[in-house]
Amino acid sequence: MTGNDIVDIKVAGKESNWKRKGFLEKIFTQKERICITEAIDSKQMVWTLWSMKESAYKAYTRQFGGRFFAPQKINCTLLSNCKGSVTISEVSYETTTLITENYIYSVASNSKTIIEHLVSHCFLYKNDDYKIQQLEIYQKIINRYAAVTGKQTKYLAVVKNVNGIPSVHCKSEKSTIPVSISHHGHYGAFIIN
Amino acid sequence: MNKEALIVSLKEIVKPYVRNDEGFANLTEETDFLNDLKINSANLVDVILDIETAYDIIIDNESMEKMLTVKAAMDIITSKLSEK
Repeated sequence: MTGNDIVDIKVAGKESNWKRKGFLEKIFTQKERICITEAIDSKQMVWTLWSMKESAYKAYTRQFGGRFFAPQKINCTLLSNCKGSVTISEVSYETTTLITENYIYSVASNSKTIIEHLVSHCFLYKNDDYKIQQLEIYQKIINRYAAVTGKQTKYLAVVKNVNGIPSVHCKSEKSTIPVSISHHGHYGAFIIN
Repeated sequence: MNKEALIVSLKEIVKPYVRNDEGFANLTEETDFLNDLKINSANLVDVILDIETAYDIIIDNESMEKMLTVKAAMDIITSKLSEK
């Protein structure tokens, strides 16, 4: 199981005031808050840990179903600048985080071998309207999947289940392949499992 | 506070974080903050902090966990207010 999460750093700065009273306390464990305070770049650490939590949450809900908003129940440990480990109710995920000037992108997986072989795609959206972004990312996923598998794009569609979890559906074969999607601000990312 | 008044005040609180105006215009008890209003999950923390300030209540982690819909928020606010 995999999950991904991208944070547009500039947009996050505009949308969220992480220094707001109570904000960090609602999201992060005491250990994570120490990590934020001690970091050279606290803002970058806030969004790194946040994207780790979100990516692991997506992998977890894909595996076990259900939805909840309990960021403190998702425990992050950073093992290096980019590698981490996240635990949700005794289930562990390995995370890899890519930090660039513009975005922070985390991928979580419950298998180390899978994470090394995953092909993730991050890109800049042309438009910041979420509906147009959704169409754009769906088209990119379909094109990518068609290119890898040789299937015709006319048979492919991105569908979501009742919990909002997306898959690529191939109409001609009646098969579905899990896909992880994340977008924030001007950036989008997806992983086809 | 009655139901209607609670929805009206809750609508004011979530307004700055809504990214889907259509979902906001059609807001009901069943509305989902993330799926219908497209509020980003980091801003859900702001919604919770704003609710705490507006109603002078504390939303513990257990209550926060369920805070995904207008109905859940209304239930939590009503229950916390009755404890006062």
